[in-house]
Amino acid sequence: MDWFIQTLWLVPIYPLVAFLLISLGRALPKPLAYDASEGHGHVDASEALPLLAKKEVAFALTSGATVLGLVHAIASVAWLFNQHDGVTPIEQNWQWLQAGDLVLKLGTLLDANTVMMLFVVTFISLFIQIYTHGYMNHDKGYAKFFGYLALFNFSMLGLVLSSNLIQTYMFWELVGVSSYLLIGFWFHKPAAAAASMKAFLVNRVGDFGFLIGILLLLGITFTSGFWQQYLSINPEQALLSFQGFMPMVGGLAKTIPAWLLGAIGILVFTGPMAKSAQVPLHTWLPDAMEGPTPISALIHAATMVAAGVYLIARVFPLMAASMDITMPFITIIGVITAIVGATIAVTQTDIKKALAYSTMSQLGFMVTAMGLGAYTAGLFHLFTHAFFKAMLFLGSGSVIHACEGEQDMRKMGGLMKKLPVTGITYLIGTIAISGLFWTSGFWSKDEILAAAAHQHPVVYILLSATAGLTSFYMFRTFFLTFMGTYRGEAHVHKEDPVMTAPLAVLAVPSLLIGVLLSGFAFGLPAFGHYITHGLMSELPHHPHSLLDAMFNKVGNASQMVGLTGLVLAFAVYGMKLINTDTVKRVLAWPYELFRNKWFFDDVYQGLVEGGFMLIAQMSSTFDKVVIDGVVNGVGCITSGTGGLIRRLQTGRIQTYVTVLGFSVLALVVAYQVLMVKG
Amino acid sequence: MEFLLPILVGLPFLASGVFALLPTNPNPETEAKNLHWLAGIVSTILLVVASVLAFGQGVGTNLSWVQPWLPKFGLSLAFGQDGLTATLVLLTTLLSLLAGVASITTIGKRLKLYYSLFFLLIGSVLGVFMARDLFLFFLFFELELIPMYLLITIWGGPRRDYAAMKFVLYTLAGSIFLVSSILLLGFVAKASGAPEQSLFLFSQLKQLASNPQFPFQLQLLIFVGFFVAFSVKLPVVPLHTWLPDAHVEAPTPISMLLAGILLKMGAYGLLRFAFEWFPLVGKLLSPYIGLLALINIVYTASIALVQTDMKKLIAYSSVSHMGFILLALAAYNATGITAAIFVMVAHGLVSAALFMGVGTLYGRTHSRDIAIYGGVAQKAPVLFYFFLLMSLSSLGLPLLVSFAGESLTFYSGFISHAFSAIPLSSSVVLPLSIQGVTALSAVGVVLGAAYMLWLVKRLFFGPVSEACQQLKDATRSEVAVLSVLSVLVIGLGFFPNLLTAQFADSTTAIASQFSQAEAQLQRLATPPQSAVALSDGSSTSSTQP
Amino acid sequence: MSSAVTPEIGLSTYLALASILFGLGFMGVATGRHLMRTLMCVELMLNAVNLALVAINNAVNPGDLSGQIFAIFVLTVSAAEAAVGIAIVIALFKNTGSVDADAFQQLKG
Repeated sequence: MDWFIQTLWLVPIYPLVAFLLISLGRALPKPLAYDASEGHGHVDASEALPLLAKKEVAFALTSGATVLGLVHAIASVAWLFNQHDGVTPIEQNWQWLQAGDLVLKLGTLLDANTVMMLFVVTFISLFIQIYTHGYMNHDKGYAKFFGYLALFNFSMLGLVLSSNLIQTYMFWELVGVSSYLLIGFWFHKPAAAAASMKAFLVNRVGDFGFLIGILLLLGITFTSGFWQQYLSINPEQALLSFQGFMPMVGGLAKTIPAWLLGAIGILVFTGPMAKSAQVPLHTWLPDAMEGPTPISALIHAATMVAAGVYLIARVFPLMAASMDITMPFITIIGVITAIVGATIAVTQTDIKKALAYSTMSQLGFMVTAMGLGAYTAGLFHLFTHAFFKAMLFLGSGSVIHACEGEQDMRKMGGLMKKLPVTGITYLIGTIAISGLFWTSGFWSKDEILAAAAHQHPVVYILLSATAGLTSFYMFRTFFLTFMGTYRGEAHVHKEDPVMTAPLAVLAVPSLLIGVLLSGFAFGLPAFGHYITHGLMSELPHHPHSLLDAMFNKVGNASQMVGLTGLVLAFAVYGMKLINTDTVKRVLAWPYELFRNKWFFDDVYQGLVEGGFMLIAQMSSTFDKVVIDGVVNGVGCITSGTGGLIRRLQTGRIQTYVTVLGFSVLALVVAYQVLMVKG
Repeated sequence: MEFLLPILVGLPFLASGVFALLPTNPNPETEAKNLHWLAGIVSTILLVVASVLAFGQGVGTNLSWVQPWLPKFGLSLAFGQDGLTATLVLLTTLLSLLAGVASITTIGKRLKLYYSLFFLLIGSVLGVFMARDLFLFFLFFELELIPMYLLITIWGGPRRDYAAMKFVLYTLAGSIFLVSSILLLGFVAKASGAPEQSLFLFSQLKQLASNPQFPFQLQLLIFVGFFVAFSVKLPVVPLHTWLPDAHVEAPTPISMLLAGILLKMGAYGLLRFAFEWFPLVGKLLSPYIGLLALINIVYTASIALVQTDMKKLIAYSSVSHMGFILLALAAYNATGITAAIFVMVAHGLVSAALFMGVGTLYGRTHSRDIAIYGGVAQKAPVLFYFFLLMSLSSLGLPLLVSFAGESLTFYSGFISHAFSAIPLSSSVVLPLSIQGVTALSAVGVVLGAAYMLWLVKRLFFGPVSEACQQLKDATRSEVAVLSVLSVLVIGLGFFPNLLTAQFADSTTAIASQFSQAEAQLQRLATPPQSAVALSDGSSTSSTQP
Repeated sequence: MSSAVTPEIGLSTYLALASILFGLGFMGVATGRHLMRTLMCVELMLNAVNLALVAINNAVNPGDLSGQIFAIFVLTVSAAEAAVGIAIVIALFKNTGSVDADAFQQLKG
């Protein structure tokens, strides 16, 4: 057991090795490794493939690496449960780069927060990989896909285990590039190519702010005075390490003005804003659905997008230090995101897009919780959401797979009979995300609502309404897809057991994990009990008794709101009591707003094309005309002057002689005159 | 071991002569094959000698070899090696081998003359990096122009004459400043009683320059001369317009060398002369140098964004990356020096590979217009993966080689205590501090990703365009070149300490010059508070060694 | 007495003569169009210089012969120059059929 804890650094290394081996297998020259993935290969040519490029090998390497990671994760869960009185984090560091006084380290940090993410990532990864084996089985790029999956796991696990903010930034970028590669996996489709680039660039914009935040922190704290005064450790030992965050922020609060501290918090928050698809940097997430569905489930629903919330929890002392600036900012962004996501989701007809906007809305809930200081609730929702949202996405993938690639819900319907396992698990997921009937979503979401009710009634009302909307649009997708009669043309295939098994497995935590960790069942301690120990034990948090009381009040209300959404959806899409066209006509203005995604994409399009590209074009013209103009101008002046002067060169010897003679004469005269004078 | 120094510089010149005098073989195909082989062997020998020099006596051993040459004029033949030189010499010899291999598919005519000039170029570049006499340095610095001019005009693209002439005239204009600074320094040396036979030895000039008695105005004059001269070579906006033309018109292997090594001559000169010898001046000017770097990074990156010519796009991205070197130098600390040298190496590897990539495409379709491409990834997957890797490195992806350099650049700027104390600063309204310009330069991170990924998307993604229907994937020699570069890009990206250890001794030496200057400044005056904008916290203690 | 009737031929007289000769030669070179005439005028100028050299030597340092030696040198060189010059003129005439100086302006800028 201890061995697994001590060698935690191996967890990202396993998938890295898998990635390198798969890439190597694909990179070997043709006679050795016939590349079946790129156009001209046939699937049945796999006999000719070398060992490393075979499908089974790629699958075994990637999922084997994930299983090894999961073993470590389970060991660390056990470690967490054994820590009775508070969690003592375990940290290991290795020097990565030394430059002058600056020593950058890579390391692993194990505390409750890490354990939670480690478990989520490896557990969900494993089942998604099994699912992918079925989903991508006939795709030419099977091995490549598993290679990229391994690369993603490497980056994500590296991010989760990061011991300091600089390391986090590195892996933050790496998950971004894995996401880029996987969204653009079918790069021959222009939409996928565009979506992948957009995802990376929007994330880069967020990372720009994040980077400046890191730089400010580094610049201010990287002085011997600061460290001697406020921290007992040497900067070389831990540069911006999470373990040293608490005292560092304490020191910052004493040395720099409050606005600067708040600004740093907001700058650091822009990283999570982009990665967790918060308004206004959310536009990449729906487009990212161009990637294969397992990716949407793994990266764009369960793990990577949640990394933003995870990071906020990691740097929570910094955020909490600015109660007047950073925290309200985070709350507002979170609430807006929750509302915008939910309203757009209502109007979507593409099943994956609807789920994507739902993810965005749920991330808004988590971020709001962070902004309210209820980080335990936010992380709890992250935890439960990962399971049921991954399941929902995989369910949608199963539907799409069965309908031969059809994603439009208007061309589905009545699929419950043909896809029973998918339908039932999808229903479970829908109930869970709607927070009904004491499923996992109920517990986590209501903790957020309780915190909101405790602090800001306005936030509570907005979030509750959004929760009702969530229930409505999720049941809408369910009714449109699985109930009624089939409206599409495509022949519906049977379910593939390789794909339904992971769905069934994920249904269990979707139903039960909430209640198990709610603090109300079997005498088990609540999720918040574990997570608040360790690095976050020193943070202020709300007294449990107060929140529990609030929780009971809020719980019933939210059930009612959720049921209302359910009933409405049933009335509109199940019973067809209300005609949707009438609603669209009556609510024309909001409907257009939501259907056009609040015009964010259009505004950005205008900004980039009309503003940014214009400036770039102007710079280019300036370079060509003005700067190069000056350069060529100097050349022209020189040759022009030469052209003028050359006329003096008549070629007639008489002229030269005359000029020479008279010049000498003039010199003599001048000499005489000057000498006489002098 | 010292005896290898002049041999390493002399060998390429010898090879150049041999290539020029080789008898013509009646069969052009066998001749081409033989010439390529011979060039490969010579480059390999150079690489081996450079490696022996760099690693033979353990990292960080300083070597020098001095012979009197024209003692009447105070000139000597002096070659030497320290960490910085060893790093750049290794880069040069490696890229010369790779560019030689790249020549196999790209150079079709007058091979003997080509290789003769090629090694003349390599020899003069090696001379620049290894010279330890300022006048000798100048000779090599100028000598490099001749083969480069001819390589562009004979083997270049359609506008080669214009580009080559522009390149030469631009550089010569910069040389005016260089030679004036050198002469001025020589006069000062003579006046201060330096030994007449060896006026221009680096070791003596460095000692002279760090003498507190050296008049500040003279220091400023010499610094500016060096700075302008090497700014042309680096290049720094607005002295950069020769570069896009020269890169675009040069044949692929020469573009690789231009971007990979020749630009580094500018960076090397800046670091070795302007910054190491006159830290006092540079330190005072550092926010302004940082401002130039900011313009370099952001302005050229946005120009790169709208290019329709793929080679020009890569060329402008080179200029943008050179801005990072300047920014790192302006930070004036050991981290910044490390960052600058790291960016030099990283950019040398990555830009060479990128030029190789676009050159390969150009060789297939004979067009540099991005618009005609599309879907190349389906036709040439191997090329695509290499190009993607290099693009990701170029945009600063962590664990690839450029990231370490770029991030260190930013960090160095923020932990820098460089401040502006000259009166000029009080009249400038801008809150000009190195921290401020560094933060703004981070926009380059977004722009860099934008132009690189957009290029990748337009070239490689989407449906296969008409012009790319018959496109062939990379040949064996191209794969070889790109593989070597990829291994280095990934390896040094994961283990950057391997590289920084290589030049750590130079970093320490230069950093000690900086801290001396800082001490001197502190004695002279206390910093005016107005000049310290973002560094409220850091100004509390400014005695980082 | 005799000195008043027959003014002594001194240095200034020689120099005046030399100047006049030089001026005539110069005018000839500057205005003449026939190449042969130009060559002859050059000879005239050279001889004017020779005269000046000898005269000055005689007046300044009569015992020394360096002026005369210079003059002999100039004579030798001018003979060679005349030979080459005439050869060039003949070659030009053969090629172009003209000895007019205005016909040869290839060096015009």
